[in-house]
Amino acid sequence: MTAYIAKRLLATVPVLIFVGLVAFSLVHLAPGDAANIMAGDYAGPDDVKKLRTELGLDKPVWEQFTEWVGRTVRGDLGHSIFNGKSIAELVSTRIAPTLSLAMFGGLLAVTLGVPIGVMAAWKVGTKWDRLGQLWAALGISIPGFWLGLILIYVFAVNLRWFPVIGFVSLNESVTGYVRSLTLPVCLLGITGSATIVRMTRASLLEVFREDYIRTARSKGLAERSVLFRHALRAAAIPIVTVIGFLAAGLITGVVVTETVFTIPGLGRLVTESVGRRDFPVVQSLLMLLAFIYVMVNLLVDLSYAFFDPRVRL
Amino acid sequence: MTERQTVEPLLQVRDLKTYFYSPSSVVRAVDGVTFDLREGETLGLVGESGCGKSVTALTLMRLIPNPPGRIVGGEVIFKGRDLLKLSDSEMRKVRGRDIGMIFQEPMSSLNPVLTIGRQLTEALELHMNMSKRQAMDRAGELLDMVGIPDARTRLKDYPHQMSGGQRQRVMIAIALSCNPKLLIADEATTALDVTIQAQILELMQDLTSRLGTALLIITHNLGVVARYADRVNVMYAGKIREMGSSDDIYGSPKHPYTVGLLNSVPRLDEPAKTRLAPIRGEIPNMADLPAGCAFRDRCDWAIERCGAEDPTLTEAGREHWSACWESAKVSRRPAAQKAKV
Ligand SMILES: Nc1ncnc2c1ncn2[C@@H]1O[C@H](COP(=O)(O)OP(=O)(O)OP(=O)(O)O)[C@@H](O)[C@H]1O
Ligand SMILES: [Mg+2]
Repeated sequence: MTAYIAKRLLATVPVLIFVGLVAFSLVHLAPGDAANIMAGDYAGPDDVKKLRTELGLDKPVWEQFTEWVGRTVRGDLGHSIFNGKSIAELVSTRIAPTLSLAMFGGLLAVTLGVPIGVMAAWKVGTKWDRLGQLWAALGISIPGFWLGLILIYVFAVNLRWFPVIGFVSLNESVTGYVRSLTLPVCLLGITGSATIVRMTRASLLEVFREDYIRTARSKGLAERSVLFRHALRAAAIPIVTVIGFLAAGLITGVVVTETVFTIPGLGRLVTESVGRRDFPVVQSLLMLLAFIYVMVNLLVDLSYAFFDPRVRL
Repeated sequence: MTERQTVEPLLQVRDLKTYFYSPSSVVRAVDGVTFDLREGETLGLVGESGCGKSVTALTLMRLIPNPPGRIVGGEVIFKGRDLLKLSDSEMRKVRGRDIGMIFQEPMSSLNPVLTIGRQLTEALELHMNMSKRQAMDRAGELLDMVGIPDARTRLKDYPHQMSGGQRQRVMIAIALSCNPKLLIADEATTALDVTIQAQILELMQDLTSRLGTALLIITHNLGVVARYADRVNVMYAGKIREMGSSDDIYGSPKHPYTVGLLNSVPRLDEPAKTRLAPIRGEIPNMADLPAGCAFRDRCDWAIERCGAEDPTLTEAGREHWSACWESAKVSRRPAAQKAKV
C-alpha cells in the first residue's frame, strides 16, 4: 500500500513539470508585452527597457523559466505587476470563498448525485428512473450562468431570501456567510450532480449484469444487501472517477459561479489578472489550480485502492 | 429401486416453460420440461450450447432476469411446495438454504471487492442465524472441507488471489454452507483445466454423497455425466428428448440426438482409431424453430411424420423415455454404418 502511494506521488512530478511549462509558455506566448503595459501610456522607450530588465524579461526564455521554477519551488510566488502586492497574499485573501464554494458545492453534488443515480438504477425502467435521468439531462444541458441568473432572480430578487451578490466571510458573520453561499453552492451542486447521476446509474446497471450479482442472489440475499453490499462497492470506481473529474471541473465551475454571483474568489482573480496582463499572477494561479487538480486526481487514484483490492499491490 | 419409487421425489418439475421476449421474437428457451430428481441422487442434464440448460437451472431458482425473460408456466415442486407460487421472501429462504448453486464462470462468479470470508459468512448469518464470529469459524471449516490449504488465513483473501480451481472450491463451499437438499452445478468445471475438472467433480460427488445432497450436474460433456450421474436427461432446443439411467443412455440410447452426441465424443471403451462424427447441421435458431421435431434436419432417422408432429416423451424401456417417432429403430453408430453402405 505504501509502495502504491509512493508510486502515485512520484507520478505527479512529471505532470506538474509539464503543467508548469504550459502555464509559463501560455503567458509568454500571449500577445502584448508586460513591460509595455506596466510602464503605462506615458512611459518612454527607455523606461520600458529599464522595466524589462528589472522583470528579467530581457533574459532568454528558458532562463526566465528556470528562475521562475526555482522561485516557485522555494515558495516565493513573486509579485503582481499590476498593484505590486505579493501573490501569496493575493491568493490568501481570495482563497476562502473559493474553497468554501468548491467544498460545499462538491459535497452537495455528491449527496444529490449518488442517491439519485442509485435510485434510477435500482428502479430501472420505472418512473423513478425516468425522473433521475431527467434530472441528469437538465443538469447537463442547462448552462450554469443561466441557471445562476434564474436562482438569483427567483430567490434573491423576488423572494429576497438571499443576497443578490457578494460574499460575507465567516469571521464577519456566520449567517451572512451561509446566506451568501447558499445560491452559488446550489448552482454548483445541481449542475455537478448531473454527471454523477449518469455515471452512478450506468455503472450500477453494468454491475447488476455481473455473474457475482447472480451468485449473491442465489444465496438468498435480499435485494437491499445485493445493492449495498455487493453492487455499490463494485460500482464505486467509475463513480469516484467521475467525482474526481467533477472536482477538477469545479475549478472552471467556480470561475463561472464567482462571476455570476460577484464573489471575490480565486476564479475572479484569474479573470481579472488575465484582463490586466498580470502575467506573474496568471502563471502562479494556473500552477496553483493545476496543483489542486493533480492532488484531487491523486486522491481519486488512492481511493481506487480503497475500493478495489486488486489495485492494492 | 421399488423402495425409491414409493418415496416422493425431492424435486418434481412439470411442464416448465421459460421464454425470452424481444420486440421481434420469442425465444422458447425452456419449453415444456418435465423431470424428477430424487433425494440424494445425481442427475445429469446434457445438451449442446444454447439448448436451455442454464435457463432450466435458473428457472428452478427463480433467477431469470425479467425482462427479457419470464417463467410462463409449469410447476417446480420442491419438498412438496411449488416454488413458482412462493412469495419473493419465501423464495429467498429457499435459495442458498435449500438449494445451492454453482456457476460456470469461476473467474467472475465471486465478488472481486469482498473477501472470501465475507462471501462465505453472509449466507450463514442469513440462513443459519449465526453470529459474525460463529459464521467466520464455520467459514474456515468449510474452506478446509473443500480442500483449500491454510483455510483460516485464506478467509481474508480476495478472489483475485486465488486460482480458478480454488475459486470454484470456494463456490462449492458457499453453495453447500447451509446444508442444502439440492446442489445445482451449471457447467461448474467447463472453464477449468482437465485435471482440475476431475478434482472438482470428485469433490462435489464426495461431499454431496457424504451430506446426502442431491446433485444436478449440468454439462455438455457426456464423459462427465457417464462417470458421475445416476440418471441423465438429454436436452435439445428447450425440451428433454431422452431420459434414463446413465447405463441406458450410454448402452442403448433411444434418441437420434443422444446417439449423435455419443458419436461426437471420444470413448475409453472403444479403439482409439474410431472416427469421431460431429452431429451434422447446425444448432437451430431458438427464436425460429421449425414445426415438428426440432432435430429432424440433423437426424439420420427422420421420417415424414417428424416434419408435422413433435413427438413427446414415451416409454422406451424400463425407466427410460425417448421423444422420437422412430425410437424403436434407433441404436448407436448409424453414421459408421452409413459410411460403409
Ligand atoms: N438473458 C437472456 N436474454 C435473452 N435470451 C436468453 C437469455 N438467457 C438465455 N437466453 C436464450 O435462451 C436459450 C438457452 O440458453 P441457455 O443459457 O440455457 O443455454 P445452455 O444450454 O446453458 O448453453 P451453454 O452450454 O452455452 O451454457 C439461448 O438460445 C439463449 O439465447
Ligand atoms: Mg449454460
